[in-house]
Amino acid sequence: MRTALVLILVGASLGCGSGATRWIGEAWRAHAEADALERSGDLERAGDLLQDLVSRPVPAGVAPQDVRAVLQDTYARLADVALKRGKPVDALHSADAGLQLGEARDVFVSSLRAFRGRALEALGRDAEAAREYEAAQAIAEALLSEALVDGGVR
Amino acid sequence: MKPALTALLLLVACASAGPRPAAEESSSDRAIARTEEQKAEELERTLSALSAAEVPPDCPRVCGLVEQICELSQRICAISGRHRDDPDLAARCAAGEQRCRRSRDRVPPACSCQVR
Repeated sequence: MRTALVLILVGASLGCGSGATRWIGEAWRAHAEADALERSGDLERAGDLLQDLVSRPVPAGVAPQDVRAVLQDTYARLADVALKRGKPVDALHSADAGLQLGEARDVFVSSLRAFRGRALEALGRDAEAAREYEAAQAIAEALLSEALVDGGVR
Repeated sequence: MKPALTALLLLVACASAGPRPAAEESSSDRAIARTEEQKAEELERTLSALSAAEVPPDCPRVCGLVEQICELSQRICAISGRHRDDPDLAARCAAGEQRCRRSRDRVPPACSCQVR
């Protein structure tokens, strides 16, 4: 749901007919297909599909913040799929790859930090996991403040 | 939005301040009073318009974030529970629980978030 919204917003900001728009369209289709595969229980193929998406070159013309949003969202989903498949090392790699794209106080980084924490916890690295959860929580709290202000409540 | 409303309320209050005793009134005072009264009415109308334009809270987003904050707090505390001799983890658990409580307290009355 969130992925679809991200892709629609990014796609709308790009206009039509460009390589950038095609890339967004492909990302949207990959996520939709991964949704269906996950629902049918085929986590392996869902993961392969998302992995293929992050491995493709990003065409010129996509704004850096949009590239980060789409790829970080996809890496978070890859981490989630890996955790569901009982592969915490893969989940950790995906979360790390996503975080290497840049830090920000937004939902993408918060999500990556939370999945990184879950991967670390599954690997028995509890203290590190707690720190990641705390970092994710701090971002979520900042986002809550923003949501309350945006919504007219302070 | 709230500071603007507060400022307007203050202006309305100042503009509607009571008249001086009749003996002190002159025609110029009455003219000033009329102007002030008009200003007060105008400000009250603006205040009503601003109040009506207040954006309602995005409850699904607010509730989702509160749920996320509290779930993360539970995860931190679960780890702390497995390492009872670790004061650092205990402190992180306490801080996390505080964040969860604080977030729940901030949910506007218009949103009825499901507490898990």
